[in-house]
Amino acid sequence: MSVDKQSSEDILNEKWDFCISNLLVKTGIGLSVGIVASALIFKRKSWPIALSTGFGIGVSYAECQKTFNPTAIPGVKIIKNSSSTSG
Amino acid sequence: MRKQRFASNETAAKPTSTTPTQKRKFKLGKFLFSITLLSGLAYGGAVYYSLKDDKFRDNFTENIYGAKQVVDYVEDLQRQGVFYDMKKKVWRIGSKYINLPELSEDNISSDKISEFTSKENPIIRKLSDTIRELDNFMVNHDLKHAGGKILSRARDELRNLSNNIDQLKADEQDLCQKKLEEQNEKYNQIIDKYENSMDQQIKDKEFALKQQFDQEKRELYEQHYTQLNAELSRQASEHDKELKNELVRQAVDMQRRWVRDVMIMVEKERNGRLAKLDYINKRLKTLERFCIDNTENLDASIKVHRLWCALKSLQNIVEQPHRTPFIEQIVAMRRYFSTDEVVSAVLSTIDDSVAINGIDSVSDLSKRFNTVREEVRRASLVPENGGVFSHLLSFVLSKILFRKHGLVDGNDVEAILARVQYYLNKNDLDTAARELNQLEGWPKKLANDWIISARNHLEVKQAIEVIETQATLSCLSIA
Repeated sequence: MSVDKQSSEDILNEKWDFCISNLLVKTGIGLSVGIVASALIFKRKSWPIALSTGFGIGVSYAECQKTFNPTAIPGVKIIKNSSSTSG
Repeated sequence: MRKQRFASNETAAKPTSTTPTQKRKFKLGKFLFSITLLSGLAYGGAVYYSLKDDKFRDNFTENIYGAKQVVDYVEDLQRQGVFYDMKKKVWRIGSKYINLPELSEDNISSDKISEFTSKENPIIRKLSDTIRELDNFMVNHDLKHAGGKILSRARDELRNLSNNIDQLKADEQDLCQKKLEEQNEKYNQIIDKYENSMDQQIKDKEFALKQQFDQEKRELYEQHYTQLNAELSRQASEHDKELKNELVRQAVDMQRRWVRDVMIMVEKERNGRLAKLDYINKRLKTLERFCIDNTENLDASIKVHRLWCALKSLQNIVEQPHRTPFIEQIVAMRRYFSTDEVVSAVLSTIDDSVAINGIDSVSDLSKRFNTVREEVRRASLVPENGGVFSHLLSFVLSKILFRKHGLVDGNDVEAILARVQYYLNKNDLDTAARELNQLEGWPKKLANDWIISARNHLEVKQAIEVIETQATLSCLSIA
């Protein structure tokens, strides 16, 4: 049955929405932290900004990955039997 | 000294050492011979002793094998006097060589003396005993020559004495005989006299007995006659009584029959009216039954009507273009048809949530399928455990996939989608849903809701069909 009034065909769309929003948010946060850090700590160098933005994007990517494939835990591989296939 | 002793010892030892083997053989034969001799002697002694002693004889004959035959044989011989003859022979032969004539005579005389002792006279016996004692004494003291003549004289005198005694005995016997004969004659006479008197007495007694007998016979006869008369009269009276009883019984029977006949007549008259009442009662009962049947039929038809109405309304709602709830109809139907097993079973299969939300129509589902199809296309290239990038890739690359149309073969996503579209175009929701069910992985997840909705639709439709058939059935069964 439907999950929270959400029909099944919209699952992916929702996931994408969440992903993109997460990306924007995390990137923004990363950017701002980078700017602040670069201004205060790192004597106005440019690499902290890029670094923290990169962190932000990475975090959002990881979370996105988690939503799309909850079983893909880093370091764990699932070995499937050839007989069991979802039908 | 020692040497000599040694030598003597050796010599003494030698014969013993040389003859042990010989001794063994010799000993065995001698041993057996002595054994048989001793046993034979013992046996003979036992036989002889058994002749004398009865108790020993019994023991001996019982316990020793063959003793009985031997003892019996010996006794037979003794009875036949074989031993006595043998003894005489031996003594005769012996007397030729040894001086035994006197002894034999004495022995004979002692035998003759023993003849005398067989007579009953005790005095002669005593005398013969004393003479024998004397003879023995003489024999023991070797005085046979001296006293032999005296002994023979004594013997002659003894014989005379015995002869005398015999003569006396014979005389006495004759006298006794004569006396006995006289007595005999006397007694015979007495006996004859008494016999005669006895005969007379017997005859008298016979006569008296005969008289008695006749009298008793007469008495018995009279007694019997009276008894017979009494018996006859008694039987006659009994017979009379029985006849009277029989008569009475028959009278009673006839009376009863008469009464019963009267009652039957009366009943018949009454039954005429009662029969009428009965008839009316029966008619009433049938009328009742008709009435009840009618009401039952009416009830059933009303029920069927209701079922039809509800069913029609449900069908109406289901046919609606958009989703409309039909929970009220379901509830009403449940209330009306709680007794009907089939209908209630069918109604219970329909979920309440489905009833509350209503079901999508075919057109709605087709429309929805369009969006579903697009989504499925976008996710069609995602692998089993794909992450963000695989999704992104699939999204991008699916734009350049070819689209298929119509009834195409194949198990890939595009083919399935094309087939589903085809069935939907033909309004075959059942097959379309089945086809879509064959998707796998992410596409299936996306299409799941659509499949469920289609299923609900189909289930409700099927339930309605079943109820419809049930309604027609009950409609037909009333009539």
